[in-house]
Amino acid sequence: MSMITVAVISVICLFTLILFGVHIGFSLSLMSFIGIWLMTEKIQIALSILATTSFEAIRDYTFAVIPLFVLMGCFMSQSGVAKDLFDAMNYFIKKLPGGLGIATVVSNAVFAAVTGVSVASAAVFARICLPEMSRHRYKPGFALGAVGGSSVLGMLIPPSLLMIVYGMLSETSIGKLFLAGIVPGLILAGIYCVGIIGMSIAKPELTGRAKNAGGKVISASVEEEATQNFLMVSLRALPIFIIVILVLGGIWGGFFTPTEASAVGAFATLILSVARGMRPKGLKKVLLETAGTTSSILFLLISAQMYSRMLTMSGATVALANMVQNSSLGAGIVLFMICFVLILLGCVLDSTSILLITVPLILPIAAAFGWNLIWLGIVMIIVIEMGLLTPPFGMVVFAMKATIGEGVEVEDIFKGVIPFLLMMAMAVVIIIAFPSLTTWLPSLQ
Amino acid sequence: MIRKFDRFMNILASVSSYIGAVGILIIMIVICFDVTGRIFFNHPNIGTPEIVQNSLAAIAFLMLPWATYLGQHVRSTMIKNRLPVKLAYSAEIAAYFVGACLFLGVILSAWEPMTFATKIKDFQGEGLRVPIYPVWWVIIYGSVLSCYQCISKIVKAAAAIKNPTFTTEDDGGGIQV
Amino acid sequence: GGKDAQSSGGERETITLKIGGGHMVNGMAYTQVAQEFFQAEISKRCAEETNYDVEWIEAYGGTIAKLPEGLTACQNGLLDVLVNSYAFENAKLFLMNMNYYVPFSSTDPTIVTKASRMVMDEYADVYEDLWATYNQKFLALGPTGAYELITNFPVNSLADLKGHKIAAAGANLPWLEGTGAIPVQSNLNEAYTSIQTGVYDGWIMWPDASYRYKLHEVAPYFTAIGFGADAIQGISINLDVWNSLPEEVQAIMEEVAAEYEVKSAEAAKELDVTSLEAMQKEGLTICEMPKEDIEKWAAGLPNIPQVRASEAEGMGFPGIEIWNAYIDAQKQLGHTFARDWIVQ
Ligand code: NA
Ligand code: NA
Repeated sequence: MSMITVAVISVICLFTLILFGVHIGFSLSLMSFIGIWLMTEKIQIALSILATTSFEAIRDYTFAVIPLFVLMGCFMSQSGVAKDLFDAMNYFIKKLPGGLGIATVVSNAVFAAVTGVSVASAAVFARICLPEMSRHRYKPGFALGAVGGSSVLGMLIPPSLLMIVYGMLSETSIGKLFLAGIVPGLILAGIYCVGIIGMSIAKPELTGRAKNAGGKVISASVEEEATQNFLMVSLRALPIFIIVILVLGGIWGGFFTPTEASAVGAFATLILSVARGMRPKGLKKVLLETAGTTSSILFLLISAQMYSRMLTMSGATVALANMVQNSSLGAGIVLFMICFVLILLGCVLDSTSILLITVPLILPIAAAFGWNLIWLGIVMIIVIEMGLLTPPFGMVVFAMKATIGEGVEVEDIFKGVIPFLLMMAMAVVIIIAFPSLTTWLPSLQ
Repeated sequence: MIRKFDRFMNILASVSSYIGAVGILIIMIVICFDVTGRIFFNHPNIGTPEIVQNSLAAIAFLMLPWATYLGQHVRSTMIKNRLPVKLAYSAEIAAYFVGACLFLGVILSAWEPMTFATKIKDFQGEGLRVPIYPVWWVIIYGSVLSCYQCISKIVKAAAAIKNPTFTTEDDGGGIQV
Repeated sequence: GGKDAQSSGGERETITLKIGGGHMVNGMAYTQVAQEFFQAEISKRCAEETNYDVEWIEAYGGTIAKLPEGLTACQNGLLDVLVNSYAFENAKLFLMNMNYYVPFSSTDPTIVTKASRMVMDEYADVYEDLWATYNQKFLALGPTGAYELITNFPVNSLADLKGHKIAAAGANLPWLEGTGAIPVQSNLNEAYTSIQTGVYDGWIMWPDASYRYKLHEVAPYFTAIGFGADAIQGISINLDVWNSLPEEVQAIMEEVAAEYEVKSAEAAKELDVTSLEAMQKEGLTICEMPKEDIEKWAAGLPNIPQVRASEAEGMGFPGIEIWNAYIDAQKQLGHTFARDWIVQ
């Protein structure tokens, strides 16, 4: 059987298995095992992918941010600072329709300056924001979308794992890429905010508001709000800002790397939790919660690696990119096709693998059309990040599901993020149309 | 007898998961020590990256069996929710059969690397040599327990097909339909 | 991998080989030459001289196996041909990392490669057994460039280093002992941001890699110390795959591998020069460390070659002989060590 055939069959089988309820990690590893078996006709080689990938897939210092940010998120919800932050956000922007959705976006943008991995953002904010939005009667789909959509900011606003990988592959300056990501990150955050306000005005019930008898739109009343005043709200939300300042200041002040920042941040939230009365029993609860979320995310990362290794072995990804390269079309069409292929790959592969596979093939095309590599990098990264939110393989969605546990279906999350995917597409179009949005900041350096 | 063994395996899974979580806490402390040493005492702890990166797989596999028991692995239940009960239980059996086979595959394929790494006392790092062969032990240990949990789910689902009123003692380890 | 026989008789057959490793193609000289020369040349010569078409499935950049797992991946057959660094297999490939354990070797990649080749030829059985343990046949060395110092502060004397944090990957860390610098372990992926934000102040790296990772943007001072280049990377092939290849293809592969070894060493040497020039154009300042200070540095190190050679003996290799052979080979090729290493 030709290797490409194997790859195509494996993608179809993967979709089928996942649809019929086989766990995603199981489906990915099974299809990589079968795929390699069919390609090599040797069962030992197929088996060996299971062992080597289990051992190696997450054996990287930077992967430590995932358990550590999950731990940080658990401590934050345990200590109640998450609730305080959102009460504060709601207090300050309650006049705005969809205030908590906007608060989610803004906090994610701030957090993005700390983390380089979107999966970590998704796990933290699913834990912090969802209960609060649900308490304020936000529709679950909308709340899930806001959290999932804004977590992609984690890899668009520097530091960013994807930018580092892209910078190395394309031989462009990583520092300039970091600077280039800031404006698009803010634009995307801005689009999200406007979009949330728009959605909230069009459908007040999405964001826990309703028309009263007089036809006036009012927010759902939540008990505590009556006793709040500016000073109290600010004071209670202060600790979380201190932690953000500690982590951000630590990174940009040169005290520690983003990976180390996740450990320092987790430690700071541990101290905060103890100060707020956490006892050994509470610590145990936090640890068990962390274990559940982390293990399913790490297991997915391991099996996703198995699958992308199988696809690499088949040569199918290279064939796909070659098709784009060999079509003698205009720059606009080719760019559109590249984005389209990236979105397709995003359905089944993880972000880093997509970059590794496609960048070397796209570089010659970029040279032919004279594209600016920094601009191209940012465009590619946003498009690839859309893949974090698309079925059947959407890492951010899975991380959220792993964090939430029972009560929400994966499909609900995929449905909820659709509006945010559209807004991402808008951001891509804007950045393609105005390349200077990405090239201006780096040019000042 | 079987019931006792089952309880023992579940407790083992839960304890392992807890140990894995404590491992995350230890990673946090190790990194904080390294950072503190570097910033305040000009003395970073060589070997921190090796300790951390090699612990990750071990931690993941320590926590895997309990996550399997709790049914925390991500899946889509869109179609399964709409199936008739017996068919849904069959789908459940199929899914966990795949899981059991995979964990068995991990055990089989990790055996030789494990024995070899143990024989040569495989390590990583120069400043501080971190032994990495125990990671293989943990991968096999975690896979054995996870494989057991998958089989246990298959048995429960099969029993439920025979006797639809069958319920498990505790909700956590039940099967999801 | 292996043969995909289309038909018998005089018709052509296609051999598909999965080639790759942990480094990206354009990340290092040895991978770049592997793709541009080794692969291309084998395909070309086989097409011209034999009945076989060799096709490659590329898996560089860790897409099938990352740096620390390349050896196992090729052993198991996930990769047919491994193009990898051996620095991440400290225990399994201790012998292939010998270069690291002889600091202040020649800074000329062609000399360390030739010297290493002389040792490998002299102790051919030892190396063949070593690679056979991992079900592989070793084909060719592909050296690094010359490890030097790149920092965000000027280094004009040994004293200038005092109190500064200098990063290196594991094996090069012991080179900093006794200098007053604080060794920090890191990886190249984190280097840029870490220097930029001040987590540490410099790296021990060769110019070509420094340029590829843009370290000069954040660390604009370069000091030649002369730690030496290291032939600790290369190409190997899965033994089962090797044995399944037709003899004429094997012959071509060995021939091309030998040429690759020379070419990749030359490329490493040339790229060090051109990238240093390029970095200078982009604002890199070259600092001078006096010769006495470099000798002082070398003299202040523990006797690393002795320690490691004895360790190799403990693993069952003729460590002392091999280490001495390597040191002597370099002297024979004209290198003068900043410190005369005594291994006995
Ligand atoms: Na970020
Ligand atoms: Na996706």
